[in-house]
Amino acid sequence: MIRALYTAATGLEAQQLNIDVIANNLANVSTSGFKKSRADFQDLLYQTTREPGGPATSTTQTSTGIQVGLGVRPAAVQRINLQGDFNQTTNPLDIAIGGDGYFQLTLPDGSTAFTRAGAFKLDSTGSVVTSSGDPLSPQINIPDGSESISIGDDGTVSVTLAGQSAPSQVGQIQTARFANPSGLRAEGANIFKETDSSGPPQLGTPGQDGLGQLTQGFLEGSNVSVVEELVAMISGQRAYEINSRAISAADEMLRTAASIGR
Amino acid sequence: MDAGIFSAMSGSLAAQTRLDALANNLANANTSGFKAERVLQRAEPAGDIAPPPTAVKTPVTREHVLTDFSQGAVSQTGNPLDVALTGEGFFVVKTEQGERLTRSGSFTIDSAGYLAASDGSRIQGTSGDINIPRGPVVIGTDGSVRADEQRVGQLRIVRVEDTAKLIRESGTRFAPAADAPPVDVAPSSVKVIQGATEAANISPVEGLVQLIETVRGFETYMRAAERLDQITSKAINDVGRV
Repeated sequence: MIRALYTAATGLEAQQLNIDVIANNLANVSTSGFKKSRADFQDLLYQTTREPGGPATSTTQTSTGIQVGLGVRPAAVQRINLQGDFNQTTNPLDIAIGGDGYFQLTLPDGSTAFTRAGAFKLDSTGSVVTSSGDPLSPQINIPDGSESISIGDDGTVSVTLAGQSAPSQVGQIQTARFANPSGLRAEGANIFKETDSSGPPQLGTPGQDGLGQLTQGFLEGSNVSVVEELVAMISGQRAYEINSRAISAADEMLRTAASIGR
Repeated sequence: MDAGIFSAMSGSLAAQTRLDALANNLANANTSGFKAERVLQRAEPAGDIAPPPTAVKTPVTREHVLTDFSQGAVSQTGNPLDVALTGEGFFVVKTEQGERLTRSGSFTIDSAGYLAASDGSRIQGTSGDINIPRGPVVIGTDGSVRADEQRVGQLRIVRVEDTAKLIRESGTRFAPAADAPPVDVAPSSVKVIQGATEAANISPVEGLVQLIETVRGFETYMRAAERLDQITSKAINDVGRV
C-alpha cells in the first residue's frame, strides 16, 4: 500500500512536468521561430512477485504472473519541429525558412549557434544581426547607401545602391541542417546549439540538398496550436487530479488498517 | 483458531495489490502505448494439505496481474515521427538486452540518422535499422517508410500468440518469453497511422470507480477479520470463563 502512495506520487510529478511544458508552449505562442515541445512518458520498473510462465507444479506453468508497476517517469521532452505559419511583415530583413534548416549565427564568445527566427536587423556597421545583435555566419554586410535589399530563395543577398539601376550581390546566406534537429540544445532567446545527439551541422545553400527555401518579407510564426495545448492541459490537469485521488485512497486504506483492533 | 481470518486477510492483501496496480495505471494516464494492468482474484485452497472432510472449506483469494492489451484511443499529434498501431501487434526495438516489443510509437531520429525510440534504441524494420538520410518522412498505413520520396524501409510489426507470457519492462516495453517467440506480421495486415500516437488504454472514470471499490473492499475484509477476532476473543475470555 505504501507502494501505491509512491506510485501515485510519480504520476503527480509527471503531470506537473507535462503542465510545465504546456505552459511554456502557450507562453511562446507569438514567439517567431518557436518550436513547441511535448513531454513523453514511459512506465517505470516492474516489481515481479511471480514470473509469467513460471512453473506452478512439475508439469504445469502459471498462465499469468504478478508484475506490478511502480509508476511513470518522463522519457523525453521532445521538440516538435513542424513548420510554423508564415506571417507577412514586408520588412526586407525578415526571412522565413520553408522546410528544413537553421540560420547560423556567431555568438559574442565566438561560438556558433543556430536559429529559425529570421527577424534580422542591421547593426551600426551595416552587418546583418539578430534582435540580440548576433551576426549571421558567414557575415553579410549591407553597404551604406543601399536603397533596397533583396534576398533570393537560395539565400543570395543583393542590394541596389543609390544612383545605380542594377542590383549587386553582397553575400550569400547559408543554412544548416541536422540529422536529428530535436537533439539540439535550446539556449533560450530562440537560439539552439549543436550537441552529440543532434549530429554536426551540414551547411548548404537554401533550396538544395534538402534545405528549405528562404522567403523574404515573411516571418515563421510559432508552431504552437492553442487549441491543442488547451486540450493537453485539461487532460494533464485531470490526470493530476486522479493521481491525487489514488493517494487519498491509499491513505484511507492505511487509516482503516490502523483502526482495526483498537 | 478460526481459519476465516486468513481468508479475510488474503482478501485485504489482494486489495493492496489492486491498489498498487491501479496507482500504476493512473500514473501512466498520459504515457503513450501504455497497457493497463488488471488484477484478477481467484479463490484457491489455502494449502496443499487436504482438509479433513468435515472441515468447512475456507479458501483464500490469490491475485493474478494481467495486462490488458486492448486498443488505446488514437490521438492526433501531427508530428510525422509519431506512429500509432491500430491493429494487433507491436513495434520492435533493439536494446542492449535484445529485441523488445512496444506499442509506443513516439519515434525520433538519432544523430546518425536512424529511426529510434526516445532513449536512442533503434526501431527495427524488416531488414534491420531504418536509416533516414533526409526528410520529409512519410509512413504508409502498411508501415512502409519513405524519406525524401525514396523508400528507405518497412517497419517490422510482430505479434505474439500468448500475450500473457510477455514480461513487462520499464519504458512501455515487453520482453518476449523464450517459449513464445514473436511472429512477423505481413505488411499487408499492418495498420499504422502516421502523425498520431496510441494513448494509454485506461479510463479515468473507470479508475476512479475501481479506487472506491478497492478502498471499500479493503475496509470490508479488515472489518470481517476484526469480527472474527472478536468471536475468538469471546470464546476464550467469556464462554470459557470458570
